[in-house]
Amino acid sequence: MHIPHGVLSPTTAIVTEVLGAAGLGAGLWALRGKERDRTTARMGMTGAFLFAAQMVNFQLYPLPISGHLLGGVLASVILGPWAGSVVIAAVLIVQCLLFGDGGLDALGANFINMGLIGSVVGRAIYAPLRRAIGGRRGVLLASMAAAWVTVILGATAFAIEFAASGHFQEFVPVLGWMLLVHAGIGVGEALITGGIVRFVLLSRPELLDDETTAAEAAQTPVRRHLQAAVAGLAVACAVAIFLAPFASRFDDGLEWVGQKTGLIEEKPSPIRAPIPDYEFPGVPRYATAAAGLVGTLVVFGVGMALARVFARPIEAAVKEGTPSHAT
Amino acid sequence: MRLKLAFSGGGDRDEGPLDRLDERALIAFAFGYVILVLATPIGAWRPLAIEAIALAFVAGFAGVSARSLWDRRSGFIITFAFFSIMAATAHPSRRELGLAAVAASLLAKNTLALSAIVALVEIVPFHAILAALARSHAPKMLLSTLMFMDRYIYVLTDELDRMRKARTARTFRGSGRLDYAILTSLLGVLLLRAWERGDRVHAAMAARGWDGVIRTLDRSGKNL
Repeated sequence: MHIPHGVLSPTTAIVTEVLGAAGLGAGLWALRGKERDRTTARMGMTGAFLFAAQMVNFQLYPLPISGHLLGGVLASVILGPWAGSVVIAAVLIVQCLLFGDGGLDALGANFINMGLIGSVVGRAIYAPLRRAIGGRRGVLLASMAAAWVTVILGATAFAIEFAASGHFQEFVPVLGWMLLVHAGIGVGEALITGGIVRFVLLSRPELLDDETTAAEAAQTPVRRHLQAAVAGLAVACAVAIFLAPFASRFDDGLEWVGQKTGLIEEKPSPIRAPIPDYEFPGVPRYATAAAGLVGTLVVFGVGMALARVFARPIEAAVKEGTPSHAT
Repeated sequence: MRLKLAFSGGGDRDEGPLDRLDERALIAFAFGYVILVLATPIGAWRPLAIEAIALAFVAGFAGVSARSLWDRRSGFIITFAFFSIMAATAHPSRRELGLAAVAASLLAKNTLALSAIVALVEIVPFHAILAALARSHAPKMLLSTLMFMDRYIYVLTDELDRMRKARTARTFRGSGRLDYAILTSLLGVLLLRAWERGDRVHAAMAARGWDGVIRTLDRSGKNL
């Protein structure tokens, strides 16, 4: 999911860098005055942990894809939205410089797709859901749902950035392919996030009830409603994205907008390419919708199964649920 | 589960004349070079060739081996080649230049930009980059997160590898298909250990008067 060097057009790169820098600035502003706190050490450690965790590949059986943890939602659940996004920014910077993964011009876009959407939007989905479900089940199910939705939104953000880099007519097919692949990656992200959150809840639950949760409990009702509104909007967007290929005029509508704004210069000729084999292949519309539905069902079903451990008395749950420490 | 670990930087390299320059200048130079390469139009082979020769000259002058540049590049070349062909099918300049030329220039631009970054990290180690950023008043919170990462990435990846070896030595091996439960609890243990380590380190730092500002006894300014 890391966009490499030279994929985005200069304009898109500059716009996303500015937006990403603004988001990072907002995160750092929210954390001002905490430089001396334990938060700093924890943020650095979480960053190093995410870096190490991303080297573990998970096979998305039965699909021929292997994925790894992205960690936006995980960082946000354990550290809070803004600290989580700063951690993701640090991970992306280290990966870009030390690892050669992701482009310098795409740092902003990568940060928007994984850091801001993963941590900040992810937290907005997580917080109201957790309140609605309540208890440890709420923490687990809400973090899994947030992981699933944010991966889909991140993939959509990439499709938009790619389309804005001079690939307007390919928006719908690219979005279709991205969704198909990221439905699998999103399920994997939800399962890994859920597994880690469940482990932490079983062995050190107090870590998740830290200052960030206390701060949230003291939130004003207005902020709470705002958060719920963002969550609703994000979930509605995710549903709409999966149903988008069914809206038959959508394709033309985007082209119309492109022509009006001057981003597409001429009407595409009826014969679109000299060699049709090289056309960007579209995805059958039922495939994306089915992927969305199956993904949601899998995340929900596995989430419920994982959360069963919290429905029983805690002593029995700990005895049965805590895996032996692999040391 | 497999672990792959290949970092840039820190290789055996003879000190070159560029090591005497200010790191901030080198960083600005490398970033400027990346921007220049990325701004070069598709199919402009002559400027790209000049940029490639310039990079090769500077890297050679600084004593960066071609091998270290290639090692980093090779990990991503297949995925990016595939990606550039895909992007080229839909590229606006495809009609005039043809698919192969567009894909090749996308690949060339990506390679040059990536090599410049790799060369920068070979010449200026990551901690020196952080020190240079600290001197340029980069945000403290981001810097200290990066500093912690620079210090503990190696520790935690080692720890993960030890835990993985311990597990394979003591328990059975699964089919490797559905080992989510094992892998996520492995990561869960690692997360808890990382946090405990973080709290310990923070307590030790606080006992020595940590106030959020990174200080160093090294007068050269090259280290954090």
